[in-house]
Amino acid sequence: MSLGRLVRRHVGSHPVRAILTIGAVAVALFLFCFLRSIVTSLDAAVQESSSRRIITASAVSLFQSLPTTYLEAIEAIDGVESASRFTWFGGVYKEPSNFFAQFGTDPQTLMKQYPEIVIPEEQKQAWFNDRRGAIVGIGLAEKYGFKAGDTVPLLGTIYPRTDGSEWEFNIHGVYRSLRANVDEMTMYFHWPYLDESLENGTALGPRGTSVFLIRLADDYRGEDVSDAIDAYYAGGPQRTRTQPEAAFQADFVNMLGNLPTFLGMIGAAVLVAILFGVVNTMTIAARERMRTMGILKALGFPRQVPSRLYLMEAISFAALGGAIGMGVAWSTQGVFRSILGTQVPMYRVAPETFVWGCVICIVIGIVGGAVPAWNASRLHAVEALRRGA
Amino acid sequence: MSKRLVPLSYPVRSLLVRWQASLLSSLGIAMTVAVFCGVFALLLGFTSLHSGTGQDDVVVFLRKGATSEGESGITLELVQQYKVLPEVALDPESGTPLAAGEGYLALFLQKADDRKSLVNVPIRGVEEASFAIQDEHFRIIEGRNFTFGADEIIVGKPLVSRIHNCKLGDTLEINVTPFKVVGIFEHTGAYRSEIWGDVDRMAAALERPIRQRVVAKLKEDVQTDAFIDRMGEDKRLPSKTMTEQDYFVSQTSMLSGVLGFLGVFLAVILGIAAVLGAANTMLAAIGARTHEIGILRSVGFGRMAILLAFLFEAALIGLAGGVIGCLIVLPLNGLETGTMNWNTFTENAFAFRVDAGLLLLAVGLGILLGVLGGLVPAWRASRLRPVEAMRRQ
Repeated sequence: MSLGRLVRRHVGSHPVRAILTIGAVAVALFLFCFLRSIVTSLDAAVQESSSRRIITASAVSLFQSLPTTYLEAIEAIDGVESASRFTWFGGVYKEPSNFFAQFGTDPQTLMKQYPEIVIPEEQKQAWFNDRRGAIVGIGLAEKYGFKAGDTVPLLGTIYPRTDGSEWEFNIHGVYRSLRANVDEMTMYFHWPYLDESLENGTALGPRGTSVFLIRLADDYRGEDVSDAIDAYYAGGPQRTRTQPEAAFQADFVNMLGNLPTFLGMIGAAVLVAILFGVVNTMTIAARERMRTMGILKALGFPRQVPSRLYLMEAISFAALGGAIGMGVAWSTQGVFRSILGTQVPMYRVAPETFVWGCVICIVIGIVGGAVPAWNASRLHAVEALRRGA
Repeated sequence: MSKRLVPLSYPVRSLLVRWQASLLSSLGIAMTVAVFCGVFALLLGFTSLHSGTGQDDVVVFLRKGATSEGESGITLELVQQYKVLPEVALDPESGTPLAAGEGYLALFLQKADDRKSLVNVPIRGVEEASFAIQDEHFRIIEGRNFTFGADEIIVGKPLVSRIHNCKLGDTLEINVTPFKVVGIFEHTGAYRSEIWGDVDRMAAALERPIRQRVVAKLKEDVQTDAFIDRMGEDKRLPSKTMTEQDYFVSQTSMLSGVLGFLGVFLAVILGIAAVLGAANTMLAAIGARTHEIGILRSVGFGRMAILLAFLFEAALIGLAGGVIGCLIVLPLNGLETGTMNWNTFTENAFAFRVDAGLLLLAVGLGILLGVLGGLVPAWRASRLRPVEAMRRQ
């Protein structure tokens, strides 16, 4: 009997136990991928930000709007190629639980500043030409079934319409994003439409803009331009804080506080528990099969064979379980992107996570198999036959 | 005879004989219970801060459509109109309405231990009536209250150690105006993570001439629900009116949702792994005792008795797991932590809270996981035929 066949027989000799162990490893690896992906997806937005863009916001509060008159002054500062306005709209689509981001912005400037937002040319033009037009990310389109031609009603929370009715935005297109710093769960519309409504009294709320997004001209350093803008407004009326896009995104991740650490701790605890579990199972299994091993040795199989069998068994359980767990993590990405759309809009399992997953599988397999393998290697055939009763 | 149960000492003893394997499967369950319990202790600490401290005869007016103070905005003329509503209680001494127009904004402030990272700290401008309304929920524990008209603030206790420039005697700059910290206060509810000062001084410093909410105490003979209904239909004075209690609770929905989802999701996933582990251990335990089971059957114990004996053994593993899990989580009780309230985007300080109900639930979860893990093995054991079982070594 070849060793390969022996391994197959050995592994398959106790199918229930095999399934239970593989299942436990699969669960552990799935959870590892899931928890790590939350953290890496949040980080990706920071990592993939462009150093070509800086963001000017109020230095006082996240919720404080800046006067829109700042736009002209900022555009006049050396090194500013273009500046666009971004206002957080905070509208509610049917139910408060349907929470997604909407920004009022300057469409033409936005599309020049963000080459990573891709949308068919005719959809883009249609959006440019309609004051009440909007575009939505593909994730949002999939979640709520939005498509070009639809009208999306939003109830204003920060900007309620004076007559109590809903705002109506005409969807002209669906965009995709090439990088993680722009998520696909956002709606962009014309900032002037919002401002006009506030101006003519059809809506209420603070005037101004949440932030200015600035694209740097060639050969200008972000720090220099940022300092120039902030110095200009140091004495008020509203102090500004200008920072690179990456730092701006990082602020939002930091606001989550110790959540990433918390998730990491849970992940580590789970892996340790599963490792113990696998070692436990393997040791029990080995004790049960001591007699079989004694027979193998007595039949004249080399002394390493029982050890190898245990090791191969543990590794194949870990590999199979890991493959299933990681496979599930891979195939459920869309589901979690939809569930976690508000909190982690760009949920994605990074390739490194799978590499780490493989490393963990190998460790579980080797450690799980090593204990019984070591025991088996020291065992004498006669003793094994006697004790295995 | 077949109705007789296997003595309880049998499963207890067999657990002790294989104590290492039993303990390891208990640990798997303990881990599940601990994670579940930990997340819910966090959730409980957060929600208990927001519920039970709001008062039912105190109402909050926001601008129509707003879901939180941060989104709301009320002009000073409107503030005055809310204050003089006939249902609002009057101060017994001065005869002025017990109602206050409050300003609210979450400021970027530096963390005390890491000044590079900014957190959103709510700052509230209050009026004299605000203190009368909060009454015994609020007290100054260090220093003194701020003086109206002066650039002074008082700071909630949890902020003192967490936020830079929030100690007694420090100076905190708001936009471009320096404010002096003259007192530290404690509040039984969510206001404890805030900074308070004179609303007019703050409005001037922030260049925000509007208020975010009006809070008012109702007269004793006013039915709160009926008043809220009436305000809902009032076209002249549109508003979103709710009790302070309901307002607090409405501010917890997002984080509670996230934590609740996380707790249940992790418990289910970890629970599956723990059940698989427990099932494995029980299967092995039963495999090694086939002979014994044969003997038990042949001396007259019925299938049901065998099934129950092994289920009991599994339940004991679960019970041990539940208790160990509780012991892991118990030290968290009372531990101060802070996390972002996803409704308001502000930092909230609160303590983990492990109460008897949660512990009971945790032990119950442990037992449930143990029993689930023991189900298949125990059923298998009960199906063994006595003669065959005896023959097997």
